[in-house]
Amino acid sequence: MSETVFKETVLELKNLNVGYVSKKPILENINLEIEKGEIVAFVGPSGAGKTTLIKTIASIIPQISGEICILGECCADCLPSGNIGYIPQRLGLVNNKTVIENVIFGKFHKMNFLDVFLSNPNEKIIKEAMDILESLEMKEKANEQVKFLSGGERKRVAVARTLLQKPKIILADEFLGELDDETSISVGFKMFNYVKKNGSSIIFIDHNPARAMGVSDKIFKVCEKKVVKLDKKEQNVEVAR
Amino acid sequence: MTEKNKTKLSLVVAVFILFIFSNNLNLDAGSIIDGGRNSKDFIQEALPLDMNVFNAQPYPECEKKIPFFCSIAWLGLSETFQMAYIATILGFLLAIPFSVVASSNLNFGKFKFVSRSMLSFIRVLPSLVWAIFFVVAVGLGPLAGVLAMTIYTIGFLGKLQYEAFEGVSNHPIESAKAIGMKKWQIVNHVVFPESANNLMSQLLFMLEYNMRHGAIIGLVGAGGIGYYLNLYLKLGIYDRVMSILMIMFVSVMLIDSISNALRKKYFNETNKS
Repeated sequence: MSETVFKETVLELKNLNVGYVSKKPILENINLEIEKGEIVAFVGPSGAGKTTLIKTIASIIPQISGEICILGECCADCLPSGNIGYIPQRLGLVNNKTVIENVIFGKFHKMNFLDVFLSNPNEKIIKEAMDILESLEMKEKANEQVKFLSGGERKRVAVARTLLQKPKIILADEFLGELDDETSISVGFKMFNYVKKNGSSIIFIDHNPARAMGVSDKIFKVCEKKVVKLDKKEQNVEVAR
Repeated sequence: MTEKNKTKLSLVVAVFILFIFSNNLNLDAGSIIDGGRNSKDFIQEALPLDMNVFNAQPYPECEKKIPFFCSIAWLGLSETFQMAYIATILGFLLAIPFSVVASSNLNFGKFKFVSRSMLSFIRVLPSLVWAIFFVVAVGLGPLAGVLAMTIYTIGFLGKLQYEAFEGVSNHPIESAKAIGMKKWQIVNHVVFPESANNLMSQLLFMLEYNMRHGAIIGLVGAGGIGYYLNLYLKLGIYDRVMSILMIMFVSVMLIDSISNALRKKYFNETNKS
């Protein structure tokens, strides 16, 4: 009981309905809380609405109704802020820019007008970005254009951008998919290590329930218009299936 | 009625309509025969070409070392090229704010409709009509031509640009939004770089287009090589008219080839990915 007193809620969804058409919500009446430092997985069949939910939390799609509370601030029609890092399924990188330029996008919200306009970050930001790229074994490719990278390398660039941003909540849409196991473990380890070290939280979508269960503190199943929290037993059942 | 008969009947109806319309417009076959004779006379007068267009004009006196730089060919062509270049660059830059606002993926609300309507209005009038308007407004000369082509370039490129912006993938735009990047930052750092190839290609195409139209709008007094074409047509010096037409043809072909080579090189590089 005493443990819960010190827990800090970073994300709370209250009676949230999400979807693209107000009369036809894809998910209804979502109520969930994510604590500081938690690693949370959304699992469920394709087309269930996992990506729509993540995009709604990231304020890319407006919610139909209900509230999204981020770090205690609740709003019905939120504007995106630097508190959320988002890695979409297709990574959202700018192909005609270099690796380092893409990574530095993560710091744009903290740079002044002129530096952003000229894409001219200070030495400290560049060093920080290069350190992150080095930890992801991408330092040598810093000045290569993203369009020339492999799928795995592109994923590491997207992760580096998010790590440089230092968001309080990271939303990642299948960021471990399509990578070979060794790279998945390496990239996943960096990301989850960052979350634990910096007191951030991560919500990620994964089609692999075994992998999701292995790394997450909580698992939610998105299915049939509902988001249901799975307990340990149910998680095992899900994996067994 | 069988399918075969239906086709025959359609053909008969189409030919019948053709005769009615020809009659309404008084299209006289005799005039076509006369036209053939006139064309033959024109070609006889126009050939051989008058190469004097490559020599220095007698007045004003040529002060340049190479007399060709005082010739009608050089003066007219260089003026047309300069007009086309200025109009293309100015039009390209001025079209960008309109096309950004007109792009549906950048969500500028009602301003999108206003911007698209303005671009459509500009495109309704061809550059020749804009040239007549500006000749009346600012007088004869290259300024009228530059203004006419700039305005038309805004309308034409504006549409191509917003279509290019709308073709940019939503994923980088969405992830930039989620990071908290402002709209102008998204335009500057995501939309422009992602559509850069298309924008470059459109710019080259517009330069070619303006070069061709720069020659045409000279006919209404808006400067360039078209001015000389109009002058010699009015005076009935057809060998010079033909020389100028040949110069225009060769120069447009040349610009076309340069632009194609640039485009090929540029796209080959980007397609390596």
